[in-house]
Amino acid sequence: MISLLRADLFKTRKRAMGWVMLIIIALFVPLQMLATAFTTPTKVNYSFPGVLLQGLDPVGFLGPLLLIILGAVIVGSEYGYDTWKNLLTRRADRVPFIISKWLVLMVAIGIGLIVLVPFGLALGLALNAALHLTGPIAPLSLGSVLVIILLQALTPLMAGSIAIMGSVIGRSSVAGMIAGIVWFLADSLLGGVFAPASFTSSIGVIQAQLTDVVQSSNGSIAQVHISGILAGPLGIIPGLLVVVYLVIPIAIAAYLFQKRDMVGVG
Amino acid sequence: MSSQTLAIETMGLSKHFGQHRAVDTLDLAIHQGSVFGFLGPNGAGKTTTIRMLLGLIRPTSGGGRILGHDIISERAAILPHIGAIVESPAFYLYLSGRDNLRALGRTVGNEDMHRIAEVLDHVGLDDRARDKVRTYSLGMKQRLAIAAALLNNPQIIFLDEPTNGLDPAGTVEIRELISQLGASGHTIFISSHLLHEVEQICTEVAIINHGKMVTQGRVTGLLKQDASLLVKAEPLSIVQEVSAHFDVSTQVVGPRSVKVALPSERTPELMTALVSAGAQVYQITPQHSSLEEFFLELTDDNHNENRQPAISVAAAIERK
Repeated sequence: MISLLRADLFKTRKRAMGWVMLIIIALFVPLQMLATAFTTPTKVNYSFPGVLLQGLDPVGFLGPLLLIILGAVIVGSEYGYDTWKNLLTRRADRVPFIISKWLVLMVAIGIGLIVLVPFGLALGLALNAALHLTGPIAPLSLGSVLVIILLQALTPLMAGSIAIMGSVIGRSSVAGMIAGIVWFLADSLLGGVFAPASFTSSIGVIQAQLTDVVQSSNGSIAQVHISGILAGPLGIIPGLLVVVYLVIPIAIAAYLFQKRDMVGVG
Repeated sequence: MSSQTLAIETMGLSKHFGQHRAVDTLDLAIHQGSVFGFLGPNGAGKTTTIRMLLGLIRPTSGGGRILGHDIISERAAILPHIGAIVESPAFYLYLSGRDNLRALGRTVGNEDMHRIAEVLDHVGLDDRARDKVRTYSLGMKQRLAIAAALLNNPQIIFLDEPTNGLDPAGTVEIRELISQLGASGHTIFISSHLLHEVEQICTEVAIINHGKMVTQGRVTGLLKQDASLLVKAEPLSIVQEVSAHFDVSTQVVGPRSVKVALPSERTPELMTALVSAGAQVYQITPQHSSLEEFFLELTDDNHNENRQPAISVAAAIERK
């Protein structure tokens, strides 16, 4: 598995697309922070540790989109280039190939966090000092911030997983992208109609349970009183839902990949 | 035929795509160290057979063994010992030739830079190894595919249409490379419809058509089977009468020439019979058909729409 992951990371690293994605998302961080600081200087305060989340603000909307593209391309391009036949004639078990692609998504998210969090921190502290921002300080402990960061990473991972599944089902990158985007839109709609069944809503519930705060769609943070429902045994349900959501697409992708004939592009 | 000496064998191997029988109860037996030509018109089931042998697709029924291991349940034991090109060469176009091989090496946890350099040198790509594959010609991609197939120093090499799309110079280049590999003791399984190629390289061949085995054997043996004698004699009526006693077919090919379907070993016997019957015999010449003629004879039917272009290419190369 490690060797497969090394091979997949090697191929991903050599692809310009990954670096372009990172640059795009990194460009959004200063843009958003500068815009907020200049338009509402009395409402923001980029102080530690809340400032750590500032670097992740663009991740909320761009992260899933970029991971959908990445997930779809790393699997779909193997069909497009017809290179699965080279790989599958070297390793007998097919499931690790899909798990490895999934791990690539995790590594990509990890790299994104490592780059964006310190970047947001440095920029936020610089803006605070330069513009004397006087907004309220976000009511967050460092632990809460780290939990929020990890939970925020789950939505892009989920979107990328759906894209992997879509690429396997449709045997192409385009199929993966369509699947990922459809899921992302459908889940947002589901959040509005029936929140307990929505992945992103469940993430919000877990976040509130664990950190005692909620984060609005524009990134602003507010402390909440944990309700009995969230704190009680029923709070396990969103957690289970998230786990099931994360496992199902990869399980389906691995199952289909294992069972299907690799008939080639011709 | 002992299975210990067989590199590859299939037993009733079949693959159906819906109602279409791509491969139909195929029995193959390929000896270790042989250069085996797998022949058939386009769409005969050659690539489907290779894909089944390599585990890329599952047989509908039947099975096979490679180096004594079952092709379905013991793939892990087989794969380290084989290298393959399946259909057209496939690579990551954004990577260099060398990086493509590195990626393949990493896939099995064995990225050996020394071996990569060695195989690139072997196929004559060392000077272009750092260039992106998208800049390669088809011939270079074929050579890179052979390098990839050799990467793990396999015992058996599958080459599916290795000269497809190559110009005559590229074809000769690949043919020489395959001959070298064959001479170095590898078992080579070449699928092709370029019969002139196969006749020059292979020691054993099998011919399939519509997914079914038509014939299999050593090239020399098969061609011998198809041998005949060209008899120049007068009168032709006596030649035909005498041939009838041998219970073989005849074909008049000239004013005093008849082709008699007898092997060269029976020349004295035929000569004696003709002279005894009062014929004036001028010449008896052994005739050996080419593999191409043999192939055409065996696969000729009105249903095979793809055969003509394949033979034309072979003929074009032969003319060169």
